[in-house]
Amino acid sequence: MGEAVATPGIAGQAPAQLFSRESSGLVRVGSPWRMLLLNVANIGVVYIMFTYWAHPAVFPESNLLIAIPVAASMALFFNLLYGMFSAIMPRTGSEYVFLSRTFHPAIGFMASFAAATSQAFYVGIGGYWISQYVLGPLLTSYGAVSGNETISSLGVWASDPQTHFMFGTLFVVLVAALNILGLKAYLRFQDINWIIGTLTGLLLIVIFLFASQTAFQAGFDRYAAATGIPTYQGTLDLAKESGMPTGFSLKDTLGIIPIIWLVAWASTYIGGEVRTPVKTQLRATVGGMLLYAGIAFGLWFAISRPVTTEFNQALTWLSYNYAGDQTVEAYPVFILYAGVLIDNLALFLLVGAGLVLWSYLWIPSAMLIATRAMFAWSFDRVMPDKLSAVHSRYNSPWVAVLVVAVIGELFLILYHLGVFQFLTPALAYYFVFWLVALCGLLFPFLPRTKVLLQGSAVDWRVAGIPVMSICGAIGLLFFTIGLYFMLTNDLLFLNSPQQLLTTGLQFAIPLVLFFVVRYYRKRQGLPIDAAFKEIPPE
Amino acid sequence: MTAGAERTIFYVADIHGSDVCFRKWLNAGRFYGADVLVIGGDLTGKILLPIYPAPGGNGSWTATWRGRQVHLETRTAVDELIRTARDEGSYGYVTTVDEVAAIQASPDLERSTFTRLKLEALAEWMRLADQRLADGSIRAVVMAGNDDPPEIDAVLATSTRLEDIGGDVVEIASGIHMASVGESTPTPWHTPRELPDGELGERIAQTVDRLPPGGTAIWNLHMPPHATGIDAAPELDAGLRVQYDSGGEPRMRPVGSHSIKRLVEERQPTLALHGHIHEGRGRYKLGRTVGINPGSQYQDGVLMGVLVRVSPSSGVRDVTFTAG
Repeated sequence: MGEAVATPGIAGQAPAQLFSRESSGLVRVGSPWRMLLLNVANIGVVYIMFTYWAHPAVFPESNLLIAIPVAASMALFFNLLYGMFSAIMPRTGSEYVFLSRTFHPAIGFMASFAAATSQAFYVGIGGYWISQYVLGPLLTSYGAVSGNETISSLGVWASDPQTHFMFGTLFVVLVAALNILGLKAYLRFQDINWIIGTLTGLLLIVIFLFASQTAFQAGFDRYAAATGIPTYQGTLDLAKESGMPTGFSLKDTLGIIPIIWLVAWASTYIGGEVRTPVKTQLRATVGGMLLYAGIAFGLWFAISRPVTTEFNQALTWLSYNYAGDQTVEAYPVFILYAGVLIDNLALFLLVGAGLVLWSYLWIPSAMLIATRAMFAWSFDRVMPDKLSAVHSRYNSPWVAVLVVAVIGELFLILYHLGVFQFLTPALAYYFVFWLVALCGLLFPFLPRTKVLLQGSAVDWRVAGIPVMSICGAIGLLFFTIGLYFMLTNDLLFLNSPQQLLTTGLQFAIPLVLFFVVRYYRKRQGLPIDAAFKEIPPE
Repeated sequence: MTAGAERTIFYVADIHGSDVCFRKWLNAGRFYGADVLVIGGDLTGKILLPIYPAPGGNGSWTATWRGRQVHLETRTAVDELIRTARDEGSYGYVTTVDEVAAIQASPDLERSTFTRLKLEALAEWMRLADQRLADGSIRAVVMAGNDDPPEIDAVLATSTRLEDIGGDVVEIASGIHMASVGESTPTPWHTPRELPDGELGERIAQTVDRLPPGGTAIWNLHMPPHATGIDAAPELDAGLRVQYDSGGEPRMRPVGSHSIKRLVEERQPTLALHGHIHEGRGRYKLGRTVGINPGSQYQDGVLMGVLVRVSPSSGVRDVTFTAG
């Protein structure tokens, strides 16, 4: 379709410009702002919660107010790398596309499979966490502090593992239904949730900023009395008696940096569907990460005023390390702190509803990523045709959605049975990110890929060194350190045999599967790896 | 060459003057092991890039490229820009500001200048095709699409290796035949080869009537059928501006041909190959018919295609989308 349109040029002035009309071939779905929000949504408020809980627990001499900005400044380069990759290869599939074309289709499929199964894991346990880490602590703490028995009993109900499982299953069904309704339906849902999330976040910041340490301490003490855990001061004392290292150490602060999840890359999975890919992807990845880091920093800044860093570290450290007889708080999440501080039922209900919706925001995007990856595999015939079947009415990959829902539910069952820990998918993803960073480092120099960079709008150099390689090198360092901590620190629960086996299978299964499929397809007369390769023009 | 009477077809459409896409297509037979190469319409480009002497008369040039004004110090730099632009489907044109003003004042002059550049570029492609496909081991067929001016037919006829199959029925192999029609229904841009939907249906019916009975029938139609998932395009207003919904997304609607859909449903060809809607990459199934649109990303120099293995007795054996 199409014909050229001329704009008037005026003789003797600046050169006139001729440009094409905006034809169907130039228009894509996915505006820059929505892609940025998709990226932030995919990291999710739940990860903010873990950042405040798990990281101080594992690295008690750290300071989040230093760690978050330093981590963001380092992660900026890796997010830029994803944006650059997607600008050079604006196609659906993210790592699948980048690694396939740079290294080998088997590596691309392997990484993409690991990423998609990790996202399917989140689809399964996302709802579980809403009950476990949002509703349970919020209802319990508010109920205990306010003396509202109805809410207290709801808190007990929400804290029951069977309720967690029920929520998990319910949300798998809801998220599958939303994804079957298509990308546009998802984006509308995202819009609504973002408005609610923003208002909730602002409300929380205001609540924490204007609360005093005395008020928090008094509220926490009432909560402690009702639940039988140590009081505010008792928590600090117990942590000290139990040997928690105190004070600030650069080593612990640096330890947090590579494991703070600051990769805003969901939009690169739908790279073929975004408008103006260069501008959109660069803004969405870098801007998305900065926005997320800003939210994480701002919220923590507000929380740390009434709660104090020392108390959070003591409470979280005890939840991970305490081996004595006394009952300690199992889920010391910031949501609990909010419940302790809020003393008004209407405000509590408002914040509670907002937090539930905000926490839900990331689950559909996780499914979006997993289904897009599966769609891409199917399109390339690595997986069966049926996976790329598109719903005639909603234009969504409905079969892939159902497959992800089933895998998510299986992960949910295994998580409920205690087979997996919450960071299990992160280990697989860190290996994937490590591969992508290596890919970025080498991309400008490999004969098959350097021409792609040179022909792109992101062939930037600093002192003659490709920016892409610089980003790759920093990313490689970032994730090598991150993997080192994940594999050596027992408190991250990622180096147990079943965790390593799970992660190993996430990579080994697709690797074997790829070569089996390739052999089968080659016998049929169509080599599947041809679909990944750039045809030499000469 | 695929064993027996089976054939592997490599199909692309809408390369719109992209030099690198055409060169890749010429090499795709050996690269993918395809027996037949097909371009299903819209061979020529849509963008003209004027390159002017820079103000001041110091012998340098200037142009607006990718939204930015670039300064070209040497003729080598000009040639490099022209090559790069050609890879993205734009025709670099070394000219003067006065000439462009004259072109813009005269629609006839604009059309003739544009057509001249298209024909020159296409003639180069024909020479290249004749060189690269000289040994005759791979068959290559093309047809014009709605965007291609009628003048290109004469240029296509000069090739000894490329067959212009628009409006014809050809035998791909024993028991496998292809009928081709490159016209589209009317577009907002009034492109050269458009027909009202009813007339388009009649033309296609007349063409496919010439297919022999039995065997594998391939319909090579630039225009996709209506509401099949491969024909969704953004809605435009009277000023040809894309319409967006309240969330900032373009409002998409099916723009395919009702006549084609009816014909496909009635006659059930084995395979239907389509283009026209660049973002409509995908496939559909209407009864026994498998329909495909490989999509287009020619602006990025990426050749979006599809490998289809067909057999006279079993029909479509396999479909693999490619992005080369």
